[in-house]
Amino acid sequence: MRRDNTYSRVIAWLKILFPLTALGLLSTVFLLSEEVAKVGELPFADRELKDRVANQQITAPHFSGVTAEGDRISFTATSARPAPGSSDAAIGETVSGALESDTQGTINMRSDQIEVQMDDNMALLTGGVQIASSQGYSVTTAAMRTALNDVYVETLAPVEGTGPEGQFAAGKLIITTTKPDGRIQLLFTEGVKLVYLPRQNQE
Amino acid sequence: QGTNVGFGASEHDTSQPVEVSADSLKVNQDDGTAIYSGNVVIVQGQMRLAAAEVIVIFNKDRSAIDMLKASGGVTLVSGPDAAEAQNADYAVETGNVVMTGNVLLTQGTNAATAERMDLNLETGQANLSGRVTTILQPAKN
Repeated sequence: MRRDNTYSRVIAWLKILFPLTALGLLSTVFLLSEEVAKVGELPFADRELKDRVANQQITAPHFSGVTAEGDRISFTATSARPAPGSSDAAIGETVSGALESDTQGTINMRSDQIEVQMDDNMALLTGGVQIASSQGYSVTTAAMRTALNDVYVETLAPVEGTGPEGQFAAGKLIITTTKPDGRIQLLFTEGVKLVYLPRQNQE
Repeated sequence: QGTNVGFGASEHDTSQPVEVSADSLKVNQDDGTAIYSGNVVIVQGQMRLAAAEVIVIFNKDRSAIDMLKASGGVTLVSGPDAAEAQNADYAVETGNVVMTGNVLLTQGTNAATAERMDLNLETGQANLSGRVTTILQPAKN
């Protein structure tokens, strides 16, 4: 009599089936694996790379000088590159500058662009120039020139702004020091007009 | 001792804006003194003060002007009246003007000279002192 051997037949089939599924599982495991992150993208756009190579751009340049009386003049820009056509001039973008004196407060300047002329120690600031002095004067103008080794600032366009006295406008602003005691002075010339609101109606 | 005189336009209001125009303004960065020079003209409402040089004196926290010290020959015109002197100190908040140095006050045809004149623009009250001489024109009949 044939004993019922389904049990051993099932086992026999399983002995074939199980390894096959194991093989199937193993072979597909690499298909399910996550996308391996590619190597990180370079942070520079191609155009920027060309720019940097083409005109030797440097970032966050800082320039500072000290005058004979010990006042410090410093400029920082977000980027600078040599001016086309001249070896010792450099052009910087979004500039902030300061004229610091230990005893006479500071004068801060900012502009969109600066062109530094190394050989004659001058810098030309253009584009939304703002000059603010610690004495409460803050004016704007279109362009200004400044020495880099002496306290001498001259605006090349009319200035307007506010001072402790109120709103005012002037034809030109020159910042120099009186000789010999070296007192820094803001000289607004070529006509000055001030409008002062007395305190009663300031409240 | 001094003679009191009515001066200038009556309803002068010291809270009106003060306009100062000049050839140049010099500001010292160390102590912040501000000096207007070169035909300086101060205008406030009816009052017009012309001088060669005006020094601005601020209050302690530099938030307002305490006084305008005019010098180098000053003429002050307010309404129909005019006054000339060497110097004038104009306290902006209170409207008091102190003129010193051979003051000449002219009102219409009348004139007066003195060493010093204390004037309050708001009340129009002027007090002349120091060798006051008054010249009154007899009315033409």
